[in-house]
Amino acid sequence: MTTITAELNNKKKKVPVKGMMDNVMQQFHSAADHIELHPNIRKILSITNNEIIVNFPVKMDNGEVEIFTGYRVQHNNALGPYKGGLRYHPTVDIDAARALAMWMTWKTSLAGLPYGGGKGGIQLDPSKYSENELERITRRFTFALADNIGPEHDIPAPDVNTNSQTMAWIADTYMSTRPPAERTANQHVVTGKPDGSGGLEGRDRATGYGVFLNIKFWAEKNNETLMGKKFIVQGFGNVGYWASHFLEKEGAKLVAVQDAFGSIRSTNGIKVEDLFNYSKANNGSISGFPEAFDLDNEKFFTTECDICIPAALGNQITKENAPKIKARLIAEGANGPTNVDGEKVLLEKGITIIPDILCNSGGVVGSYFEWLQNRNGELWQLDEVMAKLDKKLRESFNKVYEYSQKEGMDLRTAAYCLAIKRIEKAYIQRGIFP
Amino acid sequence: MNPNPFNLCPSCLFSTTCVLTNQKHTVWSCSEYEERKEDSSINIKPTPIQESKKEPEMALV
Repeated sequence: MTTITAELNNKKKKVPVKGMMDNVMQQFHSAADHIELHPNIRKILSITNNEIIVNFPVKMDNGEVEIFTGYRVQHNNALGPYKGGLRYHPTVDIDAARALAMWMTWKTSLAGLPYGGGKGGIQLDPSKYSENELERITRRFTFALADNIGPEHDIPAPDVNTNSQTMAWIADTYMSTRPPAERTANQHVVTGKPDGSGGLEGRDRATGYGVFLNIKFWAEKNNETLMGKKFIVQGFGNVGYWASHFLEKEGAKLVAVQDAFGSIRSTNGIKVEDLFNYSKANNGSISGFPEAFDLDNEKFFTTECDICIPAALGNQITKENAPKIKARLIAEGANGPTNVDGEKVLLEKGITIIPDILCNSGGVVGSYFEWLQNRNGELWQLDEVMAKLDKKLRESFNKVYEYSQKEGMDLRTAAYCLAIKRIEKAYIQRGIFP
Repeated sequence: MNPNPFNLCPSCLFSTTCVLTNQKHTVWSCSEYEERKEDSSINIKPTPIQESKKEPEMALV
């Protein structure tokens, strides 16, 4: 277990960080060493700005009142309002929110957005509550957070067990607490809203499209085309599906897929839309797709291919399976799919990794577009959104790629260096009050 | 040590059959996560602060 220790008022504050967040902190400190980050700024970034815990009552359908605990951690806002998801889960707590808020700070900074990092949620199991109860819980949580969130202060988004409906409730409640003339000017207090309530067209595909674009940019830098390139995808959810959809349109061939139910392979290629339609009709499972063969789950990552897209979960590429990976490029659609030991093996083999904070940043960039759209009272068409995503992600990719070439480092280290440097610059320019 | 490490797997519908990972103890993000609708292994019950009392809506004479 990694422990971040920062000296604050002569007291030591310990922030436990577990699991894959060990990787994030290790990367932070490693990048901070690379750029020789000023010790004072390292101190600031090692700790969160604000941690809000609210206990609030909600009336249940049976007339009883229950008390819930909600969290919001605001890690850093040197670059702009805090930004990050809200999750509803029994294991949400302040430590989890703290670690994930830090992660958001690096991500928004690298993406060149005017945002900081935040995270939060409510400790509950949503399956135990009715839709009406969840609505009341969400609205009361929003009321309890009060001015700790706001369109220019802290902007939540959907996360585990929260969705566009949850965001619509938050927006409505928050707007209702404002003076009448200001209500509609506060719609951008959350992103990830439904299409008809200020949501962004194309938000569903933003992350997957971003993964595809990063792969395309990598190919361009290497004077290659995606035509005929073989790729494998772990996770056929929103990210995996949309990334595959756009890669196929560019002429690449999907040869293996793995989801929670099993793995399939076809060297002739798997038609992405056919597989998507099959999984929809098969309770979300790709297993048994008639135009492919079943594949041993352990052999998925060893499939012959050019591009590997882990788009499901963390800690998938380890020192055990990394030596057997045939792909030349790993595009991290999921958060933290490659652990530190696995990454070492891949880099020694000369395999390029497009790191998660760059590769799957299409989602947070999409959120930024939604926020801008609401803030400026505009409505963007899908083609406009996609073109803007292309431009924004190309800028990020080019910066990371060029920095990695210039400094002779891998893309992940380069990404962290750039993310931290941007925040450092803001602190140097502004100084520390008073 | 934090007694409540964030982990999605115990509340996931596919927790017992999922082939994606053997490390079902530190998963904080997963595209395949689907909330289990019944028999959830985790049961954190918020504390009621009011006892529910069944009372007639109108006074009985």
